[in-house]
Amino acid sequence: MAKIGFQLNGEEISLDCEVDEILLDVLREKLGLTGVKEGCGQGECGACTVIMDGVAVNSCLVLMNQVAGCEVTTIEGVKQNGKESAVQKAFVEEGAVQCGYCTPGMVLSAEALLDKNPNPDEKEIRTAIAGNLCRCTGYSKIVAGIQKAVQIRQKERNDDI
Amino acid sequence: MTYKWIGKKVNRIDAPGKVSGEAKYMTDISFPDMYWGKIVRAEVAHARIIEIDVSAVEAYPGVRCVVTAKDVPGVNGYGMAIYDQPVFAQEKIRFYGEPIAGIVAETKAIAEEAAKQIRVTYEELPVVHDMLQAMKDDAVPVHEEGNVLFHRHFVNGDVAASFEEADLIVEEEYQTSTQTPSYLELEGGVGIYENGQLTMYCASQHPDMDRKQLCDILALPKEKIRVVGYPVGGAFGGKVDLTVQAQIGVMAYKARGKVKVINSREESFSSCWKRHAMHIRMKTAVRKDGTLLANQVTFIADTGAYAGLGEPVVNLSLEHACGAYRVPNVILDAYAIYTNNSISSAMRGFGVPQANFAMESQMELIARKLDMDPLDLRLLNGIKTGDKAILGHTLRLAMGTIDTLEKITEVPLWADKEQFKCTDNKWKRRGVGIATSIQGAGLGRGLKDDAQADIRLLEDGRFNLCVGTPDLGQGNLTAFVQIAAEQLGCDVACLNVLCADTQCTPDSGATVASRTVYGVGNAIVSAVDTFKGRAIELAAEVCQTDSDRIHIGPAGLIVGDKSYSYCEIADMATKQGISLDSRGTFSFPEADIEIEGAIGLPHLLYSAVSHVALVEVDVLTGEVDVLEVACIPDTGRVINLQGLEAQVEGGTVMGMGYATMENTILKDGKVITDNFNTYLIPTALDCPKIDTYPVEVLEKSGPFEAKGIGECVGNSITSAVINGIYDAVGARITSLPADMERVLEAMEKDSEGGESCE
Ligand code: FES
Ligand code: FES
Repeated sequence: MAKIGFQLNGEEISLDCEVDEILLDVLREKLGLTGVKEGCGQGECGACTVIMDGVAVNSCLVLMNQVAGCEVTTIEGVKQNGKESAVQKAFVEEGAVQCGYCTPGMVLSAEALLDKNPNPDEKEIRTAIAGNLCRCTGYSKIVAGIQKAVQIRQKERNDDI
Repeated sequence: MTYKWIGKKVNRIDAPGKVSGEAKYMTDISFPDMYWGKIVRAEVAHARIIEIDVSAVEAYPGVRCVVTAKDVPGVNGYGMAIYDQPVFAQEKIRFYGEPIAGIVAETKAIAEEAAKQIRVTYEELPVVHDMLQAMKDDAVPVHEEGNVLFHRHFVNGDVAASFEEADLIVEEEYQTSTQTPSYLELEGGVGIYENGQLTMYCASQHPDMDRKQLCDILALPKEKIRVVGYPVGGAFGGKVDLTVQAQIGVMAYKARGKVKVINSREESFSSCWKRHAMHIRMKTAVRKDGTLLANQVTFIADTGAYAGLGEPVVNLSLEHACGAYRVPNVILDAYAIYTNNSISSAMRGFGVPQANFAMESQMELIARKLDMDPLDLRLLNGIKTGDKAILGHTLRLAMGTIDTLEKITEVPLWADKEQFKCTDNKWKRRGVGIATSIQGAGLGRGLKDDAQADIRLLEDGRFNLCVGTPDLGQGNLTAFVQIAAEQLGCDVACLNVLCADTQCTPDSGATVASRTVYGVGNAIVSAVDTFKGRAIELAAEVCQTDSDRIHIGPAGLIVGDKSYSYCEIADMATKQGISLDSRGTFSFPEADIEIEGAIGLPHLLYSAVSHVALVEVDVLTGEVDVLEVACIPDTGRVINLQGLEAQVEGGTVMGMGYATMENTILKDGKVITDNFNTYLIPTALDCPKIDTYPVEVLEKSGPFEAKGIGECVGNSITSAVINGIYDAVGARITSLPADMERVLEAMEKDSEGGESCE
């Protein structure tokens, strides 16, 4: 057992866990953050995506000792003051959600993309979510959702100025 | 008629909870005093069990209990048609991954560790992995009764005479692959057995049917079992049969507590219900003007170790053996064969995608041989309302085949196909393929297909709309809300939906067979009408007035010049001591004839879809890229366009995956493509641009003249892609999927090299 400290959804936390415990299991089982999903356990599906220090990663491949000192955002940390993010709003508007099982991972991959590249083209969007499998949608409406989120973010930025 | 909600943009009611991560799937549910269960699975595909030694495990620290076949309190068997699948293997193992035992422990890690300590002594038997061999009389039997689970022979008209009369006969064999549904949510959930009652939280397509099977397994009456089955992280037919409910149920029963089990992806791919691999022989007789005269078809389907829905699946292949065409003379045979190749049952399309692939391939060959335009050939033979279908029943309801085909001429991908086919890359060839499909909706003749729905007015003036059918992702709950709001004249926001919980929702039938919008939709209309009648009656009584002076307003009742909100109506009802809860029921209409020995055949209601696909083939590698697709669905009146497009896009991509990449590979009965690194499904980079062109052939018997579409959208795309490859490089693919190896092989065999644009 070790004490591992990291920032989770904006809050500092410190946990007793084995260093080789898997982040996905810790999030779901110990912390009750079940918005993070497991679809394959092997880094193949993206359902377990979280953002770690700005990068979308598969939490099923992350060991707890790698998490020490990092900033981790899960789907539960995406809403700000109870308000949906641009990506979340756009996913609802564009019908990007069906069974919804891939959705948390998709949203986080999209957030990570737009934080780095505020104006991606379609190819860049598709590449950014290529590791997130979706069996329901055929991806068209997810891509449309991310494109719409780009516009919403732009508008929000303009409104801020 | 103008509508307020039907055909309007309404966002999915479940989307906000899903984008925020707040939606609790059955695998997300946990309790503080909960055990973890682990299913111990067979590591051979065919064997006689000599001994299962659990002694080491029972004493393992942290293990609460171990269950095997002998711990099943009721019937150690389940299945949608026959109970031939044991909850835990007894005497024999019939597929790799079959449950043998269950371990209940304090933690997941202990359960997993303890599972390794179970000792099973087997006597291995030869693995039956070839369905054609398995059919033979001297084959090793998977089940004592023999390997032919089902055979149906059907004749209509005079096939021999038609073959004599024919100007052209096209004969071919086809082989389809085993497709895995690959829903993203792994099978799992929580079972609670406390105070003699079982509660099962596990994703489901039909909680009432799950409960029925659990009653038999646990020897408990219906009142003692509650099944909650929604939300569902995708199903596509694969959660119609029980997945892990039976095993969880027995574990919870013995543990006298709460037990959670979640499959790993490897366990899932080994033990989930898959699409039947089929071997199909087709011999089609045609007149030189293109008129189809006769079709002789044999379907042999690998149903794997247990029956599942093998019989109805091949029955559906039989009914759809000639696709969307009028063929007056047929000889049809359909077989479902037991093997040790995992298990197959329902999957989106239910036997129709296989039949459609064969028939639409035949059509392409016929068009080429007669030098006819492939669209003209299809238009000439396309089935219409009033026609007799191949099984001899009259198609009384709306048939959209011709409408969807005619629309193809307006689709740029087809109208300007020569332009689309141009490419500068000299190693690539492009082609455009078309195909069309129909799909029977509902359970079919002889299988009582009833739906119920409840509408309940709440104290605050809002409504609970209660349906037993879960939304598996397709968006039917949103369509239901639109239907209810339209019929009630209220705002969609006034409706809450309760769904798929046997404690508080009626049996609406299963979410299968493209049946819910039509069947449950109609039940909702009827429930709302009953409610309206009762509310008016109540107001007439309380206000001492004539009921014809009372009208339904947007938020309540209007009595003369006074209006009463639904809140006030609810209050009135309470004071009068009456309930306004209203149930609606609907029974699917049935075809005019029955087919002896083929329960569920034929259907009466069909959806229709056509696809156009632009395909690019790399002539060096054989790689196929689907660049653009147009899909033309006929779903009657469109209730929610965004939802329809979403079904089209998802179904199209699933059918495209079936055409080009998806293949469950088994070696000695073991699924070796047991995760997404080997079982490939389309990613965002593989997917084409998809345009949807709905044609609305209104179906009067549907709710607001709508019908279902969930399955048909995934059928004809497979053949459109395969026909696109043919157009591009002249290679006929007769075995799915069209992976690089097969395409190269076919190109070598019958390539005409294709033409470049210069
Ligand atoms: S669960 Fe982590 S990538 Fe699939
Ligand atoms: S919405 Fe079901 S997997 Fe993406």
